[in-house]
Amino acid sequence: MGVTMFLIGALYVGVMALLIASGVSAGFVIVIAVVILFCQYWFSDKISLYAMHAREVSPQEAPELHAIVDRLCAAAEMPKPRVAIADTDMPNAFATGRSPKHAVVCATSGIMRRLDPDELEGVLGHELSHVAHRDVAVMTFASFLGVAAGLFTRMMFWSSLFGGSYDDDEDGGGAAGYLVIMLVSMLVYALSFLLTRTLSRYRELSADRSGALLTGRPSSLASALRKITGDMARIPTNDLRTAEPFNAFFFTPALANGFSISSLFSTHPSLEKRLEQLDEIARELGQPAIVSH
Amino acid sequence: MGLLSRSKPAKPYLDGLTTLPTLATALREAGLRPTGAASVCVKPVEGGVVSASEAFDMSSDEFGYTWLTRRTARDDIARLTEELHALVVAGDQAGFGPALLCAVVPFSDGRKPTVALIYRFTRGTWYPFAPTGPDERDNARELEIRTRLGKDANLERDLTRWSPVWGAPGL
Repeated sequence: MGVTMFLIGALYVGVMALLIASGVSAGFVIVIAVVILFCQYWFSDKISLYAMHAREVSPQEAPELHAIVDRLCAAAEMPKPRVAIADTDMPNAFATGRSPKHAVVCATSGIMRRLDPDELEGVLGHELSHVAHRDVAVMTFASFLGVAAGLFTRMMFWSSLFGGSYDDDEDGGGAAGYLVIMLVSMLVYALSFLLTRTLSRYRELSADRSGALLTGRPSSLASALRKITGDMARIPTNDLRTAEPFNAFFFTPALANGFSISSLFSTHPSLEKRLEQLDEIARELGQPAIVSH
Repeated sequence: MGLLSRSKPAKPYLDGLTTLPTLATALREAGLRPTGAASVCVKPVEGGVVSASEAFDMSSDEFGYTWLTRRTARDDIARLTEELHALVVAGDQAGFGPALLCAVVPFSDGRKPTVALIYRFTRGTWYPFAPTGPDERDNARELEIRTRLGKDANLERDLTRWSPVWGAPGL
């Protein structure tokens, strides 16, 4: 997923640079870039729900899920987000939306089947912490900085190459110049990408921490993490007899993968690191240590 | 599977069934013993009527699949394996080969819920299944059983293929 995200971002920078190179004014391209990113931020809830084939559910349709969210929001004194379910066997959960008021928290049917209520509460506590921390805004802003850095680098090179010297013979220097632009802007983009990932891992750990403190049961989140990452997550929960005729594949459009920032998976502090931190919190709360493998 | 997928049904692997006694021996060390039952699940076939010797009970499930179940009192797994194998070989010769879905062999340790080894005819592999409710399974226990079975060549390596078969006879 890291590679996917990287490539999407690189493509994004590339398209913008191509527009500039093909004669569209740089100012206009920057405006487009800002507008696209702003839409991703502003409509993050709608985009993610659409990409995950999720639908909002009423308290009547999913009483248990709603009850957990109600309880957690009351404890955290935050407005209750909308609740959605994505019908897929892949165990996952995510929260998105530009602000706590516009937030939506979504669980897949796969995660609901695999986790017991305590564990699900742990996961939702983590997701609601993302909402409270305004992580969608933070990460959109961070990724925008990366894209902008890549763009500016290219523009600087284009203007230094062609600025005021259009009468030069372009055959010789053009190809080499383009290569340099490619390399440098890739480098700038790679650096900012790494920084964004680091930031994202940090946000994940802090969501783990707040979520665990919110539920008061770090061990529930720890056991949920063990269940939904690694081997256990790959074991299916849809019956062979229903799975057989359809051979269903779940396919998340790449765009959504890249930008659904607060997915429990797409950002990766290692499982060990997360369990370690939860263990520490358990000790701080005076609870028995979580058995680590 | 799209329109351009293989046009002929895959040939079923029948002989992998015969590794059952070896797997049962490994499970015995974990206290899991065969319950004496075993069944084969057959997909609905248009115009076809599944038949088997009288030793097998025939039943159908809510998915429209037919189950042929052999129940023996003793836990003579070698004998049970032979009977299962003979059944599917005969079924294959009668043209039901592609309709064979899976074989389910329950094991019990007398305390925890019954688990099963499931054999997929299209893959020729076995995997563990530990149901704990109408649509719940104990993944931790299944992985534990996998460890027990070790590096058996007929063990399904791809965990995404460990599809549950809830409510199979004997579970």
